[in-house]
Amino acid sequence: MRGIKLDGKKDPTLITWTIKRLRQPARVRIALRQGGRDLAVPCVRHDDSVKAGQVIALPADDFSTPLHASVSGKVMAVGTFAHPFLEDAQAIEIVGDGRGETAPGVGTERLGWESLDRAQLAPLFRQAGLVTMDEAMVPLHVLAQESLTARVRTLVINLCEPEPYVTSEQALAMSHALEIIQGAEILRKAFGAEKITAVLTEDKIQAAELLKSKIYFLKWGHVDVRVLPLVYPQGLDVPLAETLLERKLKLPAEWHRGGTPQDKGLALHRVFRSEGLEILNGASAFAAHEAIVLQKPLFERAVTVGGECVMEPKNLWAPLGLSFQDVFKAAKGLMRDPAKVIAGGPMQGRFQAGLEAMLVKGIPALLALPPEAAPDPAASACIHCGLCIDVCPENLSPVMITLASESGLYEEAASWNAADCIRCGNCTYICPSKRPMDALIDRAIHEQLNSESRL
Amino acid sequence: MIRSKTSPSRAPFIRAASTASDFLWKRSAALLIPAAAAVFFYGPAALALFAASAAAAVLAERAMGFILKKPVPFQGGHALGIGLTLALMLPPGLPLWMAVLGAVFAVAVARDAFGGPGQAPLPPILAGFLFLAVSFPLEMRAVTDPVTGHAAAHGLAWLKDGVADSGPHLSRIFMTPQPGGAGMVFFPALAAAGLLLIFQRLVFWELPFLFLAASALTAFGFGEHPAAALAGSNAFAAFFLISEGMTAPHNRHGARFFALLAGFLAAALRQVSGAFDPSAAAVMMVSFLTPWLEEAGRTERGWAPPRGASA
Ligand code: SF4
Ligand code: SF4
Repeated sequence: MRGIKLDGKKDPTLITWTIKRLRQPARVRIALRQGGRDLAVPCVRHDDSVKAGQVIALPADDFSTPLHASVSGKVMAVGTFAHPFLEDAQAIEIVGDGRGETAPGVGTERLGWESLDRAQLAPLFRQAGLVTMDEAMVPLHVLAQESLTARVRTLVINLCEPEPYVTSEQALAMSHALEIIQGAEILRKAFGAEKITAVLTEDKIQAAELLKSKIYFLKWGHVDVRVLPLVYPQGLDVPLAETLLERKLKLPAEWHRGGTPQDKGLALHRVFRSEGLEILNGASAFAAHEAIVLQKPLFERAVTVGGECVMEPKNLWAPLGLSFQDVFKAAKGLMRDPAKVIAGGPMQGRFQAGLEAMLVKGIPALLALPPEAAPDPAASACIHCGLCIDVCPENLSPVMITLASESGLYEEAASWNAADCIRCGNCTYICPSKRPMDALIDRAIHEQLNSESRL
Repeated sequence: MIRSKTSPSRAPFIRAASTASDFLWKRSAALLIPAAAAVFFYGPAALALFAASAAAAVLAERAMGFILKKPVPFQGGHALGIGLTLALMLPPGLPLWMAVLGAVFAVAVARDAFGGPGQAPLPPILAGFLFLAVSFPLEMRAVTDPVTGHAAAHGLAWLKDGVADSGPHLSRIFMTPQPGGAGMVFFPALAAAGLLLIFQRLVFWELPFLFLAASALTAFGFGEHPAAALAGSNAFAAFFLISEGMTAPHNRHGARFFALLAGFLAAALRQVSGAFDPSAAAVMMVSFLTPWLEEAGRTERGWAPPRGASA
């Protein structure tokens, strides 16, 4: 695959594999909408005492999941707070009491979890609030239900984590390899898949070996580990699926249209499933293990706190709903004002206008980048160097798409297969003229979709 | 309806370090190698020619920027490249004012009046060269032999003269200073600059290779020694003209067709006319075909599938 060898910048957060626990936070705000399409209705009131893992909101529809308190403390309010992905969101605010108590049963092993079957697992996923632990945050019970009418051959556990700075998956794989494998097995059963393939990039060879040793120990013949070359965007879900299937996929219009993260994610999972794949990351497998084996609902996650502005970059177990301000504080704070705060990685993540937004389930990393690392360069004319063509994983000609889009020739742009773009960001990254390739491609695709829907 | 946050600042947030002006300045830097060879063989006159043309190009750009109220693109790197490349193609004895005129025409008229870099239908360098060739045919044809200092035939004709029946001495192509455009005087200098461009990835290696291969085959077809394809202006065109990004098609198959066609035409033109630089003329003619080549070179996804595709 064509792509770029990005400077990984992962070392600062990989000094140790341990994912640090932070002190009990003073305050969390748990968003009632995590990914845009879901909605939960509060079932606690002002001044109620809650413990970590206790249900505080019930799902409003079949798609949604319940939400759980992530700290022990008192419910303060339900209010509108800044959300990292959505324009505004209601959230339940809990003021921590510092005691760190968990709800009864949380953390104790579930008897007979090995013999749970497909029909039993999906409701348990839902009770535990499990979602895919990437920006899409599609509830796992929804995926499990949809897989009933499809044939999923392979469950892919995507541990590639191709973006610079982000290491929460890698740290999780190094510190909890067995849990990830067992979680994957639980997911496999829930999706009715035949086998499991864990995929990593070659820089994570240690983690791959560790996983292999656990699989050997478990004597599981249906699980294998694949190591892929390290070249961005290999390891994003779409190129990974294309590599495994050895052909290019057609991306759905819903995905291009770009509704909420959950709408986009759901559309993509349907495409994968129609090809017999289900792709989930390591954090999702780990969360499934916690929920099914240890009866621990999803109320915290591993987050990489990184970027050159962070005093002590590290991986953290962060309770959901923690404000970004507090997440950075847990890494000793910021040593300089960041030019950009990003939820996610620097190639795919989302810009954050402030530090007030709260952590949701799908944020694997929080980065604070200085202007040298995340510049806002002025664009100049295309010098036709062809670099963008050389790095496009989809073998497109980004220069032709963008030149056409720039002059408003959207049909011409479409004829260069703009709609096959997977928004990996490579062309924008590489362009020496710093042209806004992504925005131009977006515009071309939207115009194309609009004119198609007018027909 | 729940709206997804949209933000003016969007991924990717990190950018490659190299900029377009770096790119263009590096190209110009590579041109200094053949320029140095020219100064070595022709003396200070060649130096004056380069300086005049480069300065004229850069100043013309500033002036146009002022008149059209546009910022100077690429910190002058693009205009500098035009001025230098053009000067390298001119006969070393050309009056300086003509060189200045050519450079000004290339930048101000052929490029900026058409809307700036990348907008003009004809590559500015070749437009400037064509302008001079039409306006001052005699002066543009007056080349001297760098060794004897006497008037001489243009590079390739010179090659032919010298090799009447015994076939060309390869050393005559590769190591002897050749008459012709100032920068084409010494093959090793051109090759060094070309390799530098290729290794710095400023030029996609296949293009010069295909151009020269097509040229060699065609020359052979006309009964010449294939190595003649490497002489003087042809090597120059291979490294500096066809790969000048804004000329060639922007899909790889199209660019390949472009290189092949230009290579063929360069060798063929040489047979019918010994007058001007046939290689530059060939590239110029094929440039007009760029839109069609682009179309013809299109693959299902716009770009050739990767060879030996792996993960
Ligand atoms: S990388 Fe940028 S400057 Fe180069 S061809 Fe592509 S769009 Fe043009
Ligand atoms: S055109 Fe799309 S797929 Fe190709 S490099 Fe650009 S963003 Fe990536």
